Amino acid sequence: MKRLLAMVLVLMMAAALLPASAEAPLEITMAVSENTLQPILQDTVNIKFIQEKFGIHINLQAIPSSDYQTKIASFFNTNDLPDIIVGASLGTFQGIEDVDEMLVDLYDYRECLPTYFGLIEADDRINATKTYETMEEDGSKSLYLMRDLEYNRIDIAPIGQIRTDLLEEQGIPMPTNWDELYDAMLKIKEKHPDVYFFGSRAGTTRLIGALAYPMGSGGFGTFDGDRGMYYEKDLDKWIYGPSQAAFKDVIQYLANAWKDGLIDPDYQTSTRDELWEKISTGKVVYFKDNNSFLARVFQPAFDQAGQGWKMEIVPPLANKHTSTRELRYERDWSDGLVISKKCPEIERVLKMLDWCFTEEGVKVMNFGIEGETYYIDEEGHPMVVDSILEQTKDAVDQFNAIQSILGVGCWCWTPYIDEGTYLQTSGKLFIDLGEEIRGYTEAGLIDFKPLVPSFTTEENEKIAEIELRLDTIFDSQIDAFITGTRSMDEWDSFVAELNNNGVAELEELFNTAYKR
Amino acid sequence: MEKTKERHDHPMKVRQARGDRAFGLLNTALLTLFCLFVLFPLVHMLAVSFSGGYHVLRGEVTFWPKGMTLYTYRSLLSDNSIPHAYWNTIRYTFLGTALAIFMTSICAYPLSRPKFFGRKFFSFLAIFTMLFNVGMVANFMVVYSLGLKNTIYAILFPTAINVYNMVIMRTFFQGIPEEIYESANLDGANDLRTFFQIILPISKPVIASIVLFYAVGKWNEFMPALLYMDNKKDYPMQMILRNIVLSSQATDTSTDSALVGQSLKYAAIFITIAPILAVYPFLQKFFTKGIMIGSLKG
Amino acid sequence: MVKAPVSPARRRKWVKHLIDSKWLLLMFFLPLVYFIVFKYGAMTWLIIAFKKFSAVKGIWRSRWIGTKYFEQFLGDAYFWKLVRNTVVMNLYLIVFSFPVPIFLALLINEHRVKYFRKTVQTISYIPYFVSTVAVCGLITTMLSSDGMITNVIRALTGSSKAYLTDPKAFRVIYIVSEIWSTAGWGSIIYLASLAGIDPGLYEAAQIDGASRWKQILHISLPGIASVISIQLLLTIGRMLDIGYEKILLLYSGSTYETADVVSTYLYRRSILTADYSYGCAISLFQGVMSLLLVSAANKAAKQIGETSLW
Repeated sequence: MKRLLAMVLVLMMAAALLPASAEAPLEITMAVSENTLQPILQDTVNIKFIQEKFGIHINLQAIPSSDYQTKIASFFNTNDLPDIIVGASLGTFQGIEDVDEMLVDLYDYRECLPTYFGLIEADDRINATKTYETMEEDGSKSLYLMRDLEYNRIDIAPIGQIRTDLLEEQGIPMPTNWDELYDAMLKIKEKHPDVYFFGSRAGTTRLIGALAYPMGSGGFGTFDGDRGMYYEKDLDKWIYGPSQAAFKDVIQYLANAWKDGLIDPDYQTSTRDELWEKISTGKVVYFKDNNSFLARVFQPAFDQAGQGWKMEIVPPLANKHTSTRELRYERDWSDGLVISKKCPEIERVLKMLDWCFTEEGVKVMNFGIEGETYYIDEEGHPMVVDSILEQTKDAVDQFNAIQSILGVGCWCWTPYIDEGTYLQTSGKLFIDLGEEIRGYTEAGLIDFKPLVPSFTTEENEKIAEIELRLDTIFDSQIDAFITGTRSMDEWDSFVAELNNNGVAELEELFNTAYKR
Repeated sequence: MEKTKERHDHPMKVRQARGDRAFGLLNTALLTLFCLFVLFPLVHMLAVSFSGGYHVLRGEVTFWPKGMTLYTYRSLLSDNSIPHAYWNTIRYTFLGTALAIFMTSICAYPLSRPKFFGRKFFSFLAIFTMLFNVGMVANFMVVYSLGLKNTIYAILFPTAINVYNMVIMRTFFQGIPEEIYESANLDGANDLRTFFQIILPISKPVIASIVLFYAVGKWNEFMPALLYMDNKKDYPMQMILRNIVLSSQATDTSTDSALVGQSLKYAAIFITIAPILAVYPFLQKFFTKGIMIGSLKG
Repeated sequence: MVKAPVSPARRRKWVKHLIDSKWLLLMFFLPLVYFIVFKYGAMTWLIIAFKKFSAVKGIWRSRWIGTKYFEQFLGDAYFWKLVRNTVVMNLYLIVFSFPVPIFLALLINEHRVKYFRKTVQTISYIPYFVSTVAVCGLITTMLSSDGMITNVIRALTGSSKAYLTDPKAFRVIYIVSEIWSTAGWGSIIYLASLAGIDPGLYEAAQIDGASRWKQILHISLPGIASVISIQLLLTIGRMLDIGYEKILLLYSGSTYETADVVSTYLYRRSILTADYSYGCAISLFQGVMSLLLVSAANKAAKQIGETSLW
C-alpha cells in the first residue's frame, strides 16, 4: 500500500515536472536605447506578465540613446550580442561582415511568427517589407529586422504651419498655392518687419527638403540624412532632386524669399531649441515641421503668454509642376529589433515576440494590465488609471513618463505600438491635428515617404562614396545661391558639376535595386 | 608662492616702483578681463539653469534667472539613477587615480635613474605610445579580447599610465639632487626602499599635480564606461549628462518630445562640475613646487 | 656575437649593469607589461585596417582587402584641400590660442594678492569641465542673429551679420572658444613650472634694478622655455585630431571652405559607423601622419634651438 502510494506520488510529481521542464524559466537580455525623458525601468507589469505567461524573464539593458549606435557597433564587432537588440535599423548591421552568422533570419522561423508575418505580408505592408530584406551572397534573401509596426498612431507629418492671427489681421485668406503664400508673407512682413517665415532645425538641407517635394521636385526628404535621391511617383523611379529643372524653382523661391527678408537669418545653424524659441516668441511665424510640435509645444506656449496668438496647419499647397503633394514620414517605424543567433531557445522567444502582435499582446505591451494600470472607458479606449496620471503630472513630458512606468512605447521595446495614451496627456488639439493629417493623406494630398530600396554591401559602399562627393559639393555651395552670393544664372553650371560627379551612376544604382 | 611677498619687501627705486605699480594695475586689469570673458557664458548658463521653462523658451534670460525655480535641480537629483551614477564616478575616479599614480610612479622612477639597464630603449617604448595614438577601435578590441568587459578593470587598466604625466614625474625625479640617492645608497637602502621611503615623500608637489590631472581626466571620461560596461548600474555621471545634453540637440526624429529644456541641460552640467570645484582648492595648496616637463628622451 | 665575441671585461660590465638594475627592473615590470599588453597589443589590431573585419572569423581569418580604404580617401582630390584646412586651422591655433595659457600663467604668477591669484585660477578652470556639446550649444545660441554676442557687436559697430555661417569668421569663433575652454586649464603646467624657478634669481635681478617686465623676459620665460617647446611639439603631434567633435557640431555647408578638416571629412565618410576596419584605417592614417609631423617639428626645433623631444 505504502509502495503504491509512493509510486503514485512519484508519478504525480513527474507529471507535474514534465510541462514545467518544457517551460523552464528562461532569462534573456535585451538591449534598449534609453532616452532621458523615458527612463527604462526593470520589472514593469508587462515584464512580469510575460514571465508568468511564457516563463521568460526579460532583463532590460538600458543604454543611453545618445551613444546607442556606438554601443551596438561594439556588440557586432565582437560577436557578443545581447539576445535581443531593440532600436536597430538596417544601417545598424549594413556593412557588418558575416552578419548572417550573428542574427536570426526571421524567414527561417515563419511558423513561430504567424501573427507578425500576417501583418507584414498583408497587401499594405508587403512592399515595405521587401525593402528590409538583405541580399545574401548566394542570392537568397533574409529578413533580420522585426520592425516596429503601428497599431494606433497619431498621424504626424512635417507640414506648413502659420500664425493665422496674423493672416486674419491682414485680412488674407489661407493660401492655396505657393505664390499666394509668398504674397501673404510679404504682406505680413510689411506690417511686422521683424518677423521671419522659413526656419530650420537641422540646417539648409532640411529647409530645402521641406519645400522641394511639395513644390514638384524632391530630394532631402524630411529627415534620415541629407539624401538628394528621392522617389518620383510620376515617373515611378528614383532620381536625384537637384539636377531636375523643377529644383531650380525651389532655390529661386528661397533666394527671392531671402532677398525680401523672409527667411530666418539663422536657418543654416539653428538647433531645435533655438528654432522653437523663435516660434514661441513670435519671431518665426511660418515654417514646416511636425504637427505634433504645434499641439504640444507652440500653441501651449502661446496660450501661456496669453496674447491671443494662434497657429494652424496650412493645407497642402498647389504647385506648378505636379499634382498637389506633401511628404510624410514612412508608415510604421524604420527601426525594430533583431535577435541574436546565440539567444537560447529561439523558437520560444520568437513565439513570445509574436504574441506581442496579438490583441492581448498589444494591450499588455502598450497599457499594462487591465484593472491594474488601465481600464476601458465607455468608448472602448484603454485609459491609464488615475494614480499613474497623478504620479506623472509634474514630469517634463507626461506621456513619456507614463510610458516609462508602464515600460512600453517605441522608446522602450513595444513592437506593435498603440499611442492611445496621448488621448489623456495631450489636449484635443493634438488629436484633431493628427486627424487633419490623416484626412489629407486619405485624400491623396500627402504621400508616405517611400523606403529606400535595399542594397548589397558593394552597392552601399559605392553609393556612400558618390553621395559624399555630391553632398560636399551641394552643401558647400547651395547657401550661396540662396543668400545671393552666387547668381542663379550660374545654376546650370552648378548642376553640371553635380552631374559630372556621378549623378547618373547613383540613379542607376538606386533604380537597379528598386526594380529587384 | 610666498616669494612674491618677499620680493615686495625689497627696497626699490622710486621710478621702478612706479613702473611696477603700473604693471600691477595692468596685470589686475588683464586678469579681471580674462575672468569676465570666462564667466560671461558661465553666469548665463547658471541663470538659465535656475529659470522657468517658458522664460528660457522665450529667450528672456541673460544673467539673472527669470521665474526662479529649483525644479531642474530637484528633478535631476530625485532621479535615482543620478546619485548612483555619481557614486560610480567617484569610485572610478578614486580607484583609477590611485592605480594610475602607482603605475605612473613605478614607471617614471626607473626611467629617471641613469643607471637603469635599458633605460633608453624602455623610454622609447613608452614615449612612442604617446606619439602614436592607436585610436578607439584598437583599444577597445584589446580590452575586450582580454575578457575585461563588464569588470571595473576595464575602466581602470587601459588608462593606468598616461605617458605625458609619466614624463612630468620623471623630470621631477631627475631634478632631485644626486646626493640624496647617494646617502640612501650609503645607508644600504636598495632602489625599492629608496623610492618608497625617501623619494616618494619628497615628491608630494608633483604627485598632487598628477593626481589632479588623472582625477580630472577620469571625472570627465565616458567612453570606456560606454564601451566596456553593459549595465546601467555601472554607468558614471558623464554618460547620464551626455544623454541629457545630447537629447535636446537631437534633430532627427519623427517621434518628437516636449522640450528637454536648456535649463535641465545646464543644471546637469553644474551638478557634474560642482564636486571637482569643491575639491580643487585643497589640491591647489600643494602646487608650491613645480612640475616641469623635461625632454622626452631617455 | 659569434664573429666578434664581447670581451670579458665588457661582458662583466654589461652583467654588472644588469644586476645593478635588478630592483629597478623589478619595478618596471608592471609598467612594461602594461605597455606591451595595452599599447603594443592594440597596435596589432590595426592590421584590420587592411582587412574586412569579421567578428565571427576573428582578426586572423578575416579576408584581406588591402589598402582599399587608404586609396579611397587619399585618392580624393578634395582630401588635400582638407589637409590644407587642417594645417591652417592648426597654425591659427598655435599663433593665437597656444600662447594664451602662457601669458595667463605669467600674469597670475606676477600678481601679488594671493586671494586674487587663487580666485582667478579657480575661475579659469571651470570651462574645462563644460563638455564640448554644451559649449557648441552655447556658441550657436550666442551667435545667432539675436544672440548676446551679436547684439553686443551690433551695439558697438552698428551692424552685424551671420557669423556662424561666414567662412572667414569660423576660425575666429573656433579659436576663441578653444581659448575659453582650455586656457585656464592649460596654464596649470606653466604655473607649476614658474613656481619651480629659483626665487634667488628674481632677488638678484631686483638688486640689479631690473623692472618686472625685464624679470619676466629674462627669468620667467627662459625658466619655462623647455616646457613651452615640449607642449608645442606635442600640440603639433595632435594636429590631425582637431575638430572631431567641435567642428562637427559647429560647421555647416557654407563654412566647409574653411571649416572642413580631415577628421570631419573622415567622419562624414564613415556612413557605416559600425565598420571597425574603416575606423582602424582612419586611426592608422592619423597616427602615422602625426608621427611624421612630430618628427619633422622636432628636427626643426633641433636645428633652431637646442630643445628636442628626443
